[in-house]
Amino acid sequence: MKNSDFSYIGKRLPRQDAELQLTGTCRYGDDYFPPNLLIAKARYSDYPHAKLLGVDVSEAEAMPGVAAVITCRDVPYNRFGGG
Amino acid sequence: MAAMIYPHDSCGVSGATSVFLKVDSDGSAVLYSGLSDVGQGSKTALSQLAAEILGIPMDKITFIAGDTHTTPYDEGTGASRTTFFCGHCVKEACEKARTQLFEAAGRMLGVPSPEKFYIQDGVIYLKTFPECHVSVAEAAHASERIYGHPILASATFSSFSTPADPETGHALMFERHTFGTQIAEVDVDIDTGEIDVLKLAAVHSCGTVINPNLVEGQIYGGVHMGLGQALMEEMLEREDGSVVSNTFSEYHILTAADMPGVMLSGMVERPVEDGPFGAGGMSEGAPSPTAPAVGNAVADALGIRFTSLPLTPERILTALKAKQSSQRS
Amino acid sequence: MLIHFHVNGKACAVDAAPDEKLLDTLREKLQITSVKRGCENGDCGACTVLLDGRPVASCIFLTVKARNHSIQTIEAFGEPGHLHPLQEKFRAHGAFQCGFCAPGVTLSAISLLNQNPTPTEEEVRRAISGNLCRCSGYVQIVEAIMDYVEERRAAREEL
Repeated sequence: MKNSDFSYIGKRLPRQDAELQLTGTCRYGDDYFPPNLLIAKARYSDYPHAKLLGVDVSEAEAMPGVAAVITCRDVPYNRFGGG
Repeated sequence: MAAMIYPHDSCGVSGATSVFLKVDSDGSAVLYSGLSDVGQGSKTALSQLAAEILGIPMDKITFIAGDTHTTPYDEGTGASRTTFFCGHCVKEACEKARTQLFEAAGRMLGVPSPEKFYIQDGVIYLKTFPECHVSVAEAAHASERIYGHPILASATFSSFSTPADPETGHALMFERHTFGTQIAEVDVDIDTGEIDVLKLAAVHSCGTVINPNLVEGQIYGGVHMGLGQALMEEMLEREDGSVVSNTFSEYHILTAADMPGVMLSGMVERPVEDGPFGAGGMSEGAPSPTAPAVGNAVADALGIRFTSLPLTPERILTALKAKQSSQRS
Repeated sequence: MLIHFHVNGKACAVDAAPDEKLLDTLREKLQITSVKRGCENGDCGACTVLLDGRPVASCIFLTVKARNHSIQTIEAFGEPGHLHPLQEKFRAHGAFQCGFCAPGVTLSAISLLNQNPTPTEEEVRRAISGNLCRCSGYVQIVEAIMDYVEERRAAREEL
């Protein structure tokens, strides 16, 4: 079938969410402010290619406003990828 | 010039995709899919597909995507697989729903043969006598409230790769591929080492094009990435492995002022077997031939073959100097 | 300290720290999330707002410097159901994909067109060169702006 036989296929129709994007109305992950929102930050090693001898989170946990400090020890099943 | 072949689909996993569909008694339809539309426009393209089959206008189609609480399994949006795999499911689900609508219309009109109907702009017509018709809304309403059969459909589709034969090493990793060719015309300033890509043409095969704006957007966006790879994008590291280029001040991507003066795109619509109306996929392949095309153009201009990217002015000037020295000695 | 300025035509008074960025004030204190947090380094343009009609990177602009000035975000120019004619062109050309750069690009373009209604393509590209886009290659964006420019030019000629 040629494209001229179709009503919708082959047509330059606008994206359904175009209006929301253009007006800044659609919300991305960072645009939600639910109540009791916690903010997570990643702490990386200061030293590339270093040997990690240990991680002590006690000082961080004790800081006011800190809800939790999560390390790999807190992730019991860590599988990357599909399947 | 450079040409490429790129597989679409996943390998080593089932590549399962699924779609739910309902047609409501107001004549609107809702599709549910696990795909992620991050801007490529899949929700729009697949709504166009649904509108074509269901004969329902686009503004009466809602596409709910990527909500793990309500949408069925999708193996993932990547590998240029969404139009083909989700499209396959959308087509199948819509065809099932359309048959249910024709069955309802048939009962309403006393013509119990779904194949005798066609659908257009939200109305179901009897082929031999179009004056005999009911709206999609009326048929869905009757099916739901009178015949006890809400209009619902689902579809799944999977693809499997054939692992390598231990004797021959042959495997069928992917069942479908996309092809593309790009041509770059460049100007190299031999005093500054700067490369100006004057023109770039990109032609990609994608099967039947559902929405040319969306496919062109993917081609242009891919070329942008490929040109960045060719000309300026580089992760710079210190000797200890720490990263220098971790802001856009050091990691440069092309701005609007850096893009070629002439950008041409083309789409080859050779239908993909099994694709919904012959549609396939192409996006991930779009950046692949760009840097090779630019590299080949620079080699043609300077007679120097570069084997590392990006082709920064420093690398160009260093190579030109080396070539001049070797020519003198 | 209390900072008085106008946002989208409305008078505002915000209590801002001396080192507070305009981006944070707009997003978190005024809930204007159309202004995006991108690189926070002044490089990507996702945080672009118009200050007295000129584009600035709000992520590196101190709120205290906005005192007595007029700020415009994309809300000043269009809303769902009532798009600015330039936004209509962007929609028709399929200019934006993920949409994250859209408000910033549109504001930069509007600022240019307010100063120069008949820019060349090169001038358009330069005007939006502070707005990075990873999706589109800028092709359909520039086509849409030039289409708008041409349409306006033709309409003026008819008059």
